[in-house]
Amino acid sequence: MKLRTPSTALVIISAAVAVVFLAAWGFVAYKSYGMKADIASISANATSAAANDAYLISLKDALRDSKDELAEIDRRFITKDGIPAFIDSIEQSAQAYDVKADLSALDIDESGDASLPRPLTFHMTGSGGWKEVVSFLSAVESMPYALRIEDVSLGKGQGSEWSFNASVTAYVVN
Amino acid sequence: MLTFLPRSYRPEVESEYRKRVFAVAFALGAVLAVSAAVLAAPSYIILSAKRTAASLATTKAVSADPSGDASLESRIRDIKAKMSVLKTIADSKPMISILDRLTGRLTPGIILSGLTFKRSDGPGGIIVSGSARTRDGLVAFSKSLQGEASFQNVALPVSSLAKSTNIGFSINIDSKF
Repeated sequence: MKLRTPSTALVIISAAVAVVFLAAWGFVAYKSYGMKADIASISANATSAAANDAYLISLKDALRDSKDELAEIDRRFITKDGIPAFIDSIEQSAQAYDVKADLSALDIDESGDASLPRPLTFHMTGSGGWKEVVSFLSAVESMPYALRIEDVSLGKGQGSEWSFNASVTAYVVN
Repeated sequence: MLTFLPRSYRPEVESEYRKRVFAVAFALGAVLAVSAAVLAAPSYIILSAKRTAASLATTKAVSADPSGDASLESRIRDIKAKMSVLKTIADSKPMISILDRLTGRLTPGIILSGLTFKRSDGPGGIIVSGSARTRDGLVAFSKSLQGEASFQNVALPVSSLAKSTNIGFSINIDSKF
């Protein structure tokens, strides 16, 4: 008796089909598993980035809300272009208080980060009456700049004249 | 197993039987794998969509304003540096206020001829020089200066007390300003 069905071919084909579909399922399962891990990682990054983004947005909002105050802070610092006007204002103040004043040894500390405020140091020497000299020094110290008198010497001269010698530090920004 | 097949046919029939069993098993396996793959496909599609959405969310958050972040960082650094400078200045007492305190302590008979103020990281230094009409007046002035809370150490050299009238003096004061 000879059976007509090509049973060997059937077994091979069914085995091949089974292997192919099994591989397909394995591929889908493997990719899904990998994707799940990817999503967890990306979600963590997204959460962190979103939190960072929210923080940056709140910072930007805070800066925008404090625009006037920040502008006031900025105005306390002399720009490089504003140095001549700053010196003029000191000289005008000296004239207003009837004090002879000379500015010398102007120097900017160029070390460090150029984008940050840098000290502008200078000396002031001059003379005038006691009240005038004190008023002038007070006016300099009260100027609307980030400025400090580091040291000052006052000496009595002829008659009611007092001479002074002061070192001043202001701050310059680019 | 009882069978009426002639003995010569038996091996072939048994072989065919096994082949069919295998074929059916493989076919069932294939159907199972197809079913599993088909059932897993929606999960795959959903996960793929979720991954894309998460990637987009991350990209959007990170690249919302990359140049703005750099300028923001620079601006904050700038503000921080300026605030630090302003704090240093605000924490230091104006020279004029020190001068006011000092001249406010002047006693009769004291004539000032020189004043020096010098800031330093530690206590600053003040040197007051002048002349006193009498020794008692100089001592009274020195004690008056010692009464000023912001003057930490008022040093009147003993040599200044040698004369009794018209005494030149130089007083050193330590003060934080």
